[in-house]
Amino acid sequence: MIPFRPTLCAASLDQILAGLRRGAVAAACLVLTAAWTTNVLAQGAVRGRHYPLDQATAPGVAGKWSGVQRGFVPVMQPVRFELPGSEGSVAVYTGPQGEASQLNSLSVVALRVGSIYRLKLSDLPDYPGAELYPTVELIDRLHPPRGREIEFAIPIALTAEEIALAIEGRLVTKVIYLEQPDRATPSRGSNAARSRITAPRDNPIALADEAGRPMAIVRIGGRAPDAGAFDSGFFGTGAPVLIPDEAAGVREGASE
Amino acid sequence: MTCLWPQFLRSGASRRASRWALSAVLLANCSCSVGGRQSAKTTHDPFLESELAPQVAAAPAAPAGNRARRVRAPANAIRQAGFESAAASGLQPPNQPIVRANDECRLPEFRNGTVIGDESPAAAAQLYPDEYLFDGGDRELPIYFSDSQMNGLDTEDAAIEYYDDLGKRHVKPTNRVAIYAPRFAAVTTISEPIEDIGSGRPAQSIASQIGLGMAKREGTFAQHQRDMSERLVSRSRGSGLASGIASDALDQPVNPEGNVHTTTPLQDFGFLHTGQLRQSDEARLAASIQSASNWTRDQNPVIAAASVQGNELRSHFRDQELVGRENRFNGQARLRIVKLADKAIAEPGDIVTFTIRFDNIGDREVHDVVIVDNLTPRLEYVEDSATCDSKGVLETEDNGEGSLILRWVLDEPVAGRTGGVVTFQARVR
Repeated sequence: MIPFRPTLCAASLDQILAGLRRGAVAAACLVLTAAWTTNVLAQGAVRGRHYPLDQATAPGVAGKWSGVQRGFVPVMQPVRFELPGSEGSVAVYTGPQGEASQLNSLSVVALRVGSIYRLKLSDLPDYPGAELYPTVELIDRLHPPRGREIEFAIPIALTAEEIALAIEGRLVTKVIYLEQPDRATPSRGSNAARSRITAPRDNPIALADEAGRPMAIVRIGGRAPDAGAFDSGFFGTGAPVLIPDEAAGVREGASE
Repeated sequence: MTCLWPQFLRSGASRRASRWALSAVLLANCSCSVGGRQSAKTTHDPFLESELAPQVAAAPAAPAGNRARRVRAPANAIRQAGFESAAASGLQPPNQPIVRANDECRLPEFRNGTVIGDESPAAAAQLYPDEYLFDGGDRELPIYFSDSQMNGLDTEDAAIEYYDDLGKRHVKPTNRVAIYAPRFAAVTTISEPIEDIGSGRPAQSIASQIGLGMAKREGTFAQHQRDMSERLVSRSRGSGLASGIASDALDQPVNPEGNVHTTTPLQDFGFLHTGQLRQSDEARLAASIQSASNWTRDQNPVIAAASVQGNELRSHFRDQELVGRENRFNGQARLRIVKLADKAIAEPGDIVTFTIRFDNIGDREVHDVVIVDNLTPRLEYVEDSATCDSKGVLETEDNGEGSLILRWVLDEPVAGRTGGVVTFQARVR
């Protein structure tokens, strides 16, 4: 007969309970890992790389993620709006209460990297009375020589097709990227000509990353401010905006 | 998930990963704001303000001697159109310190513990190469020759090829020229609420955001595809292919009957096929001969094999004549090649003039000199713009990437202590 040893038995019970706790923790981790993996796999991967952001990501997330990168500096990055035929007017909302500033003939405005802005496109020649309210989200910056920042603004070139689709009520998500020089297409077209439309299921951020460095995300849809119910979030976050003076001597029309 | 956002790992921001750590707290504050309000005395360069001006409260002081020069811009160059309050942005962490305006100092930029003080274009080109156009040098695979054919000439590469007086072939790349010329493109996706419904299920995209992370769930519009038993199952083994085919599909077994060894290992050496004995076969042949002699003593091949071995393997030559060559030159033939561009900054449409200067800095002449330049796809050669102060011809060849390979073939040798200049123009695309 095995002698009864109470102390040893108590220790064994503690060990059993500890083992059960460890098992429960391990099982919970396993379940969480499986759920996370399922979520990740659902988001898909492009050529072996995982891209958690795509056109369905909520506006502002990409900029916020760029802000948590090591070494991120929220500089003011000039952007230049290029509308079809160089016609139409662009205004940028500078405050959450709907304050807007009209851009001058340069159509250049400096926005803060990592922030999201709401703009207003109007006076479109082919669509009298139509107004579009795109958002612009900067996720990276350029490093031009000092004093040439405005000259090398990031071009946000909208094509007539994109504007037409947006007016029809469709959501246009445009990712503007800096071309990798050795992968650049040997074309002499304008910035708008280097814009390509992909299938709805394609991830434009992933495609832009494969061809260069994503710099900005522009979303144009049919959403308009509701005159009956004021929504402060519609006009952006109130991030700083700088509009260069027309007398700064900036050379217009960087593209051919 | 191996990486949260891989594109930012290659981005310019991530490459500057070791920059001043406290700059991250500037995320939700304009640098010239005090307590979320804009200072009216903003006179410093607004495009650099977040990098240059702010001094963070309770932050450690910058190392002595690291204070960089202050950069000012014309006060009327930029007009402030708006600013944010800390509460309105919604981006500011709750424990974020207040950023105070101070244009008398700037935060130094750090990389690997050292201050980044070199603001030259060459240094910037190293940090942000995707914003520059390069031409010259020898990137990626080095230039080499195979059967008199030049290989490894990538786009952007430029080099000079020559033969020295001893007939030895040389190739020397030029320096690399960097031109600031960023170019942009875009990818657009068009979508609408009922887009891409494969099976008529309700389309839905549910995105929820938690902190700085994102948890996203997609709706039920995903397409489900199930493969029936028609699929092909194949496995690769180290020794061959094993394939299995499911039912009602093609059944094609592969038998290993293709490679049949007809000779035994003891017979598999060259002497049996060629009749010539190699030294490496000697031991095996000796063993075979020994075995053969055990079986057939009257047909012993030992003597015949030994005679072939002695004639072919143990002979050697000695130099009987010493030929000397008079060295009439004190130095060696060496070429120096330098490439220059007349612009450091260019925009699409600009024409850049490149100059290649080559000099024979040795005393001996070189001949069959060829200067080759493989233009990057964003540089378009301007027709009839090439010049050369030496006699020769210019050959152009499509490089397969939308640009040209320029090749100057000089007719005359380049004597020692002489040189020449080659120029051409290219339009930035």
